[in-house]
Amino acid sequence: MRPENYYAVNHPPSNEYELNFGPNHPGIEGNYAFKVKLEGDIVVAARADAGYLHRGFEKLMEGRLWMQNLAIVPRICVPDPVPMEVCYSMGVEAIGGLDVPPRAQWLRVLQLELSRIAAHLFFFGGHAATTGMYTPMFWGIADRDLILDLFEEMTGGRVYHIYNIPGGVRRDLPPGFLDRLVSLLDYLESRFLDYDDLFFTNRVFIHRARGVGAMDQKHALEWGVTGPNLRACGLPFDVRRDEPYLVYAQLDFDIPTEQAGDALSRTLVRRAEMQQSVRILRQVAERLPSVEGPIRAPVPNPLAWNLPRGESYTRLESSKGELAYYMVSNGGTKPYRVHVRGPSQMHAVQVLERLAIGSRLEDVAQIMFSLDACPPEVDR
Amino acid sequence: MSESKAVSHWLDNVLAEFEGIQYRRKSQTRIRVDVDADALPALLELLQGRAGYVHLSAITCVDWMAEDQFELVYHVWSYETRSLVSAHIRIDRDPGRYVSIYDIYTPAAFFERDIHEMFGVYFEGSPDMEKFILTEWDGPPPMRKEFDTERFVNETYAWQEYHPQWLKEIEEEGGGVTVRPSEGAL
Amino acid sequence: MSDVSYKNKGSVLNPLKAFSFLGRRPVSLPLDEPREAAEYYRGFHVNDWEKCIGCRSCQKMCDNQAITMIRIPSLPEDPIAGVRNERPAIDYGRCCWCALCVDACPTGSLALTREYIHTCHADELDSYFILPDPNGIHNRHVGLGWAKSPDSDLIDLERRPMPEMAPEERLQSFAEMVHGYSEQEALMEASRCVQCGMCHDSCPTHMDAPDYIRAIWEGNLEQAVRDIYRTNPFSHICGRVCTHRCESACSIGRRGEPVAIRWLKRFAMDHVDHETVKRIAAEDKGDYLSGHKVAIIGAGPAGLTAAFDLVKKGH
Repeated sequence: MRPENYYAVNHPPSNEYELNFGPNHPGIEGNYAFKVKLEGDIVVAARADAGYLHRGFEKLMEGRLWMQNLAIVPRICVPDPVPMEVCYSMGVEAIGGLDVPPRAQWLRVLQLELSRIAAHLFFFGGHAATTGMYTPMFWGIADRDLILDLFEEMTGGRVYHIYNIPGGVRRDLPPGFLDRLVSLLDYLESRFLDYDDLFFTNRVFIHRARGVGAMDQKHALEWGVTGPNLRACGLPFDVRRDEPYLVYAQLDFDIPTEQAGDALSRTLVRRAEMQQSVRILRQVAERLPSVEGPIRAPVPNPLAWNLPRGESYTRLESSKGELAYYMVSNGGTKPYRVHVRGPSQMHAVQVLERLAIGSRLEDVAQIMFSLDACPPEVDR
Repeated sequence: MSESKAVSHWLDNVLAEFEGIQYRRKSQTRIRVDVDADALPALLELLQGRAGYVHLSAITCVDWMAEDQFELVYHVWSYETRSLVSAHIRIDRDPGRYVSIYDIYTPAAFFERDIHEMFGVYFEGSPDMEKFILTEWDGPPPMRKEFDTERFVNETYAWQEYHPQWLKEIEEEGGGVTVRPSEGAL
Repeated sequence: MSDVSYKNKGSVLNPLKAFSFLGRRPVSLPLDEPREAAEYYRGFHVNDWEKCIGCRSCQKMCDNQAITMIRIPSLPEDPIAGVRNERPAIDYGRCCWCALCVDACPTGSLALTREYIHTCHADELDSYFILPDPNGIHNRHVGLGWAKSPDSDLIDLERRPMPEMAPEERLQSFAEMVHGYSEQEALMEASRCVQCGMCHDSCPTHMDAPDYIRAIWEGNLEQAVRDIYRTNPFSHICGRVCTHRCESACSIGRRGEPVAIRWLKRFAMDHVDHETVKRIAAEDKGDYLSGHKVAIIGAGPAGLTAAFDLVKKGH
């Protein structure tokens, strides 16, 4: 915010004071301002203020060719860019009637599940930091780095992969990749036990996170909560099961749920999901060598590629919840409208504001992290 | 899956009774409904209350400037039947006003605030119509088709000027820049 | 859920396990020798100047408008062969290293390397604008990363085949053995063009080939005829028998089959009826008579074209 736009508000004498949580704060993910009004250390009012990461993607995408947009799409969600790429590609494929070859679908699932583990490691590391435990945070970032090494081999980029294009993926796996993947999965599973010892079964953490930011099923459905946050309230809804896309229908995995709907449950659901992602990846590593074929459906020259008139609404399960893209084509070489519905648009704004009220100041950051609120998705 | 088919056909029959509705089932999980703007709140109440479409996934606004209309699309999802209904309505661009459906679906508050900011559509009854993302912007609503971001950027900001040594050497030889990036785009 | 008992509270002493890491090797890496990047890494650009023809496709494909074309007089220039002495220069303040330029390059000269470190002070910002050459950004070739590959190639190298009459039938008939493109085939063939303009440069009459190919792709055949007639009133025949210097210069033809420019011209001329063609040809005829008369000796193509142009000017 520019200094000239800031003005102090005259409050009548009271015990309340306004605290600006962010936009630069280690207790929030990304750049996000969360204004809380406190009475003592209890939050009585909260207001989210986004916009620090607004890059105008929806407008930018209208000015670029269908293929060119892939270079900017991963940047919409910084910690978990892969579902953005896959969802955009799937949207274009739905409008254009493109059939993605099976090998490309398996490669996409590989990329998505690895990204899910990386995003969860990133986020629970941040959550640990909000409760003062910095060791799991550094461990999480370091292990995520090993996953980024695998991404670098597979796609050519560490964080922004630009690997998916409408029709399939851009490169096949380098030789020996699946062996390295399996050894990383073994390593990660042993690390999960270390994380359990330090974080997930830690009495301090359990004591701090239990009961914080609790929501019941009725409210969760009413407020539009999706993803691990909804599963922590006991509802086993997951887009990979509800509306199987790519090859998820052929894979064997559970949907972990918890009952309490508080910060502890949400964290535990993510811990269990990491385990399930490893399980999915082992199956992918086993099946991939036997799936042969091209990795792309042929598409025309991107400079002269008109997509037919139409629209598509594509839903996907990202690590944070339900990600959806609504795309409209008016028959041209560029999209007419692309609307990005990020899961954090619900979680980081309305849900967070409601859950923060009544909680203590030290728990606000915890609630934000346990909801996996990702500000780049809110601002686009 | 047969259970969802039974419920969906019930839905087909019920929706056919709405006046002026156009109903198209695009696939097992996608249904498109075009209604009059006045009929939409009733349709959404019906979908939520009777048909189990409890989750509002998104509200999208599409600017059809050539037809002088905004199209609002309400995407609602049912966990029971595992299908999505996209309800499309058209409103006139000129007053650009519509009612809020916050009373029916709570997540609508975010989308309506976002559409108000980006397109300038006012939703009557929405709890919060204040600016959210563009708090320091006082120009026209930027997602409207008449706002040309590229022209705005070129007028407000300057391209970075570079003067590297190799370019100077080439210019001395008689060469130089032939096509600038902004001219080279198709 | 899973078989890990994470739900039970652990012992208070569990976190002491972290001390076991004191003896382990850290995950951190030394900075003096940067680690080698992966096989397909998308680092800084290199450009093979011998292969590069200056077609500007990379500039068109770049989504951040990061590429500027620079003319370098010392490089060879051969319009007949389809080679320009322009080379791309990249602004790394805008580039996002998506490698779409590499995939769109018709010749495969542009590639990304495994080099990824570049530092400079604020007053050395000019070092962000580089002219990729075969040696790399710091004159130290670290190895190719993302280069041209059939997996990710965005150029369509195959031409739509032209249907022809079968040999047995040809023996019995005087009809044209080439059938001509259908509308669908012409559209697909026209979409292969990257609008580089080499065909225009190499054509002896400098026909506006990129413009009429684009018009055919857009479905606007009258505009295509207009673009064709601007320079050549004999396109019905040229679309059948021209020696297609344009196709020899076509940048797609460097690694694949060139765009079928001659067949596209035939398609446009065949599918617009004669009355419309006459109307379009007469469009820029002046509505005045200059009062001069010109005698042309010889009624070959040159003479007739001269007559066509002079009548349009009112003589």
